[in-house]
Amino acid sequence: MCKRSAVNVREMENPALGFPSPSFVPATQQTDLEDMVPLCTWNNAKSRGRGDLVPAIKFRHCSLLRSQRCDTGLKASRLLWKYWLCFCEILGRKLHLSLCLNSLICKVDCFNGYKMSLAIYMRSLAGDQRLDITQDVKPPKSLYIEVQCLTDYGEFEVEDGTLTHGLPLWQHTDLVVVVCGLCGMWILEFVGRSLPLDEILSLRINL
Amino acid sequence: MAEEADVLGQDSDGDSEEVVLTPAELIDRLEQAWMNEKFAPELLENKSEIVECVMEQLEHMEENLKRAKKGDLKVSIHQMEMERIRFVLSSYLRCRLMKIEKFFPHILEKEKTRREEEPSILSPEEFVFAKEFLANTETYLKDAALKHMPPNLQKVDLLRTVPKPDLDAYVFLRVKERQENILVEPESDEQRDYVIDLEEGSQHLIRYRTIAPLVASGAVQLI
Repeated sequence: MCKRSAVNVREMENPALGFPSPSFVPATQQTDLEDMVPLCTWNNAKSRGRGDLVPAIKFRHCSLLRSQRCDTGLKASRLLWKYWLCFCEILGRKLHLSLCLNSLICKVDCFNGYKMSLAIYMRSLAGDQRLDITQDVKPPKSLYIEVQCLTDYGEFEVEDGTLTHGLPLWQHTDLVVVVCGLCGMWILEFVGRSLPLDEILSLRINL
Repeated sequence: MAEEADVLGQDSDGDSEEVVLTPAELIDRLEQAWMNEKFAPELLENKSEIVECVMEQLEHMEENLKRAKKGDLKVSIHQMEMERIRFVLSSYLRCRLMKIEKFFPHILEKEKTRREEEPSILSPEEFVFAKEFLANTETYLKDAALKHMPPNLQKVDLLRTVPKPDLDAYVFLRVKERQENILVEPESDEQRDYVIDLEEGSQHLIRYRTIAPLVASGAVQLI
């Protein structure tokens, strides 16, 4: 019984992903719970007046406690994982369906309670504003804008020699505007020279 | 963006007083709090005053954008800036919630046993969330597992079963203010403790437990 519980806990984690597999359903978990009852009954019955059985009783009690820890740990880990999937845009809707089908592992009420707590938290934080922390899960992408160049500046090449970070603006010129979203700096580079934002705006660039 | 933001800070006497920050300084503080929270193994002190100020700034920015001309280049730039700030803010709050969910019995126990003069690591909203999380988890464990177990095994001590944060985890840090005579405790019995100085601007890989007070005071930044 203990071995089964420990194996369930180990197998719960998907080695490929590094976290519990949502579809993992230990077939032996119900058996473990059922096995605990007769074991405990035996322990209680033999514990009175049988001093010679004390080591065996203690050993079985430790086994029962271990099995309790494994089973509750398994349930708690899966619950925590399903809570964290709330923040995953892709799986959000599928998650509810899998919960309904897999009621042995997680009760829908508990999950709904968690979502309610989360909603109350977000509402109390933001007040009149809307702050949904289940959104904005990925960092914002760099912003690319399309510009039309009014003056022919000739051929242009970015520092790394590629044009993958920007868009060609004009049919006969390779003027590229690269906006680095993370550092907020606007760089206009052509023929190895970089321009600050003020100079860019002064070039009469139309969006 | 509003020109200045007022953030509640503390002067040397420990009394609260308003500290005026520029928006750039406010965002810088938010990013510092975000990185510290991301890399620290335990839940750090809440920075609700920074969160409130940032949300006010976001509201101001949104109002300004509504008044701006359509097709203005600056609209795109400001929208991008707002998305960045919103991501950092959401990530910071998510990080805190995940730590609360992971270590909730210990956090609530620490909150229960803290003294009046000690600052709380939980904001009032987080405290409510943590309490509800505890109640939900206890109900779930009882319904899903414990009630099927023998009567004398139907209780579980969450303080003992839920793991504590690993304060001996190693973290990278950058020193912002020079620190002297930092005591590094030995990892094993064969080693002895020793003292190091942390020079400003230097970067180190060190056990979190050693520098936890420095993170709280802002003398070092986790990276």
